[in-house]
Amino acid sequence: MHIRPYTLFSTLHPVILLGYALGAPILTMCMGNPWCLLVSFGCALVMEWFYLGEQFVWQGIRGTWLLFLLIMILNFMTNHRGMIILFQTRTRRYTLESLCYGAANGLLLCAVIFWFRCFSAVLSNQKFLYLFGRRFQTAALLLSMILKLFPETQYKITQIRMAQDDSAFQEKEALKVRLKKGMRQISCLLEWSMEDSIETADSMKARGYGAGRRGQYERYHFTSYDLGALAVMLCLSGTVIMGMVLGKITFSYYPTFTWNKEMLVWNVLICFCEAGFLLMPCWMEVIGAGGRRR
Amino acid sequence: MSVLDVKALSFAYPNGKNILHAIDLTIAEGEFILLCGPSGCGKTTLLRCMKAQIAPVGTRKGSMSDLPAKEIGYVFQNPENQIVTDTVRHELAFGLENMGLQTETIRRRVAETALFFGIDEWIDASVYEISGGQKQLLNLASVIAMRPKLLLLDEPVSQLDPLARKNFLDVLLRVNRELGIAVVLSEHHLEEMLPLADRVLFMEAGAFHYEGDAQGYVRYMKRRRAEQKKKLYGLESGISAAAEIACFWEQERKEAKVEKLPLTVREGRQYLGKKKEEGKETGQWDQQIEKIKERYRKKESVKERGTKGSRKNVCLLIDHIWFQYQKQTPFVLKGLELRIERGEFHVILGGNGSGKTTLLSILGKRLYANRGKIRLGEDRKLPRIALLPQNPKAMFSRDTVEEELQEAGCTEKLAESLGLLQLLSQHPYDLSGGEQQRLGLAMVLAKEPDLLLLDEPTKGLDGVAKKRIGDDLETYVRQGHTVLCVTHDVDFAAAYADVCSLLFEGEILSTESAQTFFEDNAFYTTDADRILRGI
Repeated sequence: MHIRPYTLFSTLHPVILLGYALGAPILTMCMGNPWCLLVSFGCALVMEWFYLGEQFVWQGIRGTWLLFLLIMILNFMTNHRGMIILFQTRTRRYTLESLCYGAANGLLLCAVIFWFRCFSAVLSNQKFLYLFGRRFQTAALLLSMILKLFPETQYKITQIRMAQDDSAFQEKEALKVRLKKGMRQISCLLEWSMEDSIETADSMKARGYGAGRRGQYERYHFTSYDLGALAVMLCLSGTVIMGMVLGKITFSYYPTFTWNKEMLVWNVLICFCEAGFLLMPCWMEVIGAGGRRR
Repeated sequence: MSVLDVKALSFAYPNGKNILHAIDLTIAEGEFILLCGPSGCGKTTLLRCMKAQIAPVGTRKGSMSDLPAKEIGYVFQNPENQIVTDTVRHELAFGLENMGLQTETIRRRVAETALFFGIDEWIDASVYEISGGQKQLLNLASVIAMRPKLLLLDEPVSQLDPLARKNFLDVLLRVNRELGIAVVLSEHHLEEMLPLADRVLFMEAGAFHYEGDAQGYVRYMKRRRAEQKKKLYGLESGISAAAEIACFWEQERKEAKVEKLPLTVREGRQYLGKKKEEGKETGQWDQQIEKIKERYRKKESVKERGTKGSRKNVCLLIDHIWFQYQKQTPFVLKGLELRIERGEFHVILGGNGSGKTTLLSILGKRLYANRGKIRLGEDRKLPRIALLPQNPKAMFSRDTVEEELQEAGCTEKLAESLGLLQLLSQHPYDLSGGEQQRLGLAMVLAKEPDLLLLDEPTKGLDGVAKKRIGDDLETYVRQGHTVLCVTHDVDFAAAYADVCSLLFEGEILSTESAQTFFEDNAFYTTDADRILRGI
């Protein structure tokens, strides 16, 4: 599914990957500045293309544009704060500021959705399990077992449908009959799955599960390379956060658009750092020729 | 030195049913034991009793030497259900993690196990991406990774196709010979395993009726069949074709039983070659060999099959159908052409992924072809079609067999003919594989379909159950219905088919009467045909 599962970025320690995979959407969520939002949205598209391919980007855009429009229009219709009036009815006025604020919020939500779509590509289940497996062993094993159950159940559902569905040879039946048949299929699925899980339980017991303390297979080393990457990430994201906290990139929509015009340099710098942080998996590939350079 | 000592072991289930009667068994270091017997004789119970963690609930008498859990490995029948985690790598590590070993030790053992079994190529795969044969190999490997001294296997290959089965047994033999791990293998298709086993145990009704080497086992089975007045050959014989043929020879010639009996195809051919030399002198060879060949003769197709275009006597005419599941994946069926005539038992043989199940789904109108047509017979009437899926469990949703039959509208007469009347009060899941298959058959036959589609009806069944279901189907065909069955099972096809087709890579390559089909094929044929070829 992932078109680039083996990137240089994926060799980093899972802790860093988790930091990136969670950091990107959280950072986006805290953004108020429209330029930074646009940068984040753009980076999210690039990363989605990088990890999941062009098709997924289009699929994502098709899935979210309606949401974007909805939020924008909803804010436009209900919020009448702002100075620049576009048009007016007897009781309400419609302002450019509320339109833009709605658009920014819509963009934010879409960007966050895109970031979470990349989550499993950045941090595979295996690495996620490694991070939490030591502390929450049972939960980690449970998660792994559940992941195995998904395709298995899907397979069973198709098998049951194949076996019990003879609708092709009959007239269309009444809703009641169809519902009844559906219920039968569900009960069949439950019974079958439970029966199979007894065998799984036996297999676990036979291999000594529950006999005592468990060990762990996965292991990742935190090397100086990881440390370097972490430092770069912290520098970049730190600059962005600092800018936000110090109010260098504050942007307000109401009563009318205001931002600190003297801080243009800051704005550009912070957008640059943000892009640097968010596009890290990409530019690591580009410059990471490693041992080839002398 | 023995690995495990079982002394006077008896076992009874809580309902008072005695399953094992005073079993004595000593398993020597590195021994390869074959445990056979009809289904329901107590093989599984015995194996489970030897492994304390999964021993069934009930009263147990007798003694057993104490062995820690990790020193006995256990492989179950179903490849899917015994896998616990979602990736191959994690699955290999699961048992080792349970032992609480250091991370370094676990990693090293996983690596060396993967290399030994050749799993390293697909170690990063998800468990749902790999085939059934690979799954069972993984189950074996993850047990071996724990370094047991004794390995118990409960019909591990019964769910696999012939190729995967051979592969698994080869690996199992390597485990035994190279690692010196003692093996107890319960199995009902033991033709290929007989020459390899150090000891064969034949179990019936909870007690060992035979204990000894393979030669003795063949002799024992022969005697036994004679006592029961049953034919020595066929699906339920339980011995290899080579041994069957040699036994006939002796019977006919009334030779003294001193010679070593052949067990494999190679030995069978050598045996017959020697007899031919001897026979030339006495001049009785021709007559004898004809008699033997006669026994393995397939059903002669009574009628001529129609030519390509004609619709005479046609049930369904499949006209160049193409099918693919997704636009991204290649076509599964590629211009498939097949003529199904009324009143024939038509068997389609083919390997894994050749499109067998897909073809049945299209005929059963669960899927629709992308290109091509399914044409009707002369009367242009769509026959009633019913599909029996590979796993009959997908059909069951009631608490008892009786309710299930009622729901399907099955008559008592039909239930009786399939031998289901004594099972009425049982839960469908408590039935054996063969009984489940028969229940599924009863449910689809209730509508009396003109064309019955079967997907691997003999999967996981022993010879007796196979014969039973084959006889039932034959009766149904004789009543004027049509049966189309896809299978891997060459022996089953040889015993019951009127017409055989070979499906390869989405195309039907040949459709012939069973006799011609099996005589012509050198690889895709029965052992008996291989031995008798050109002799």
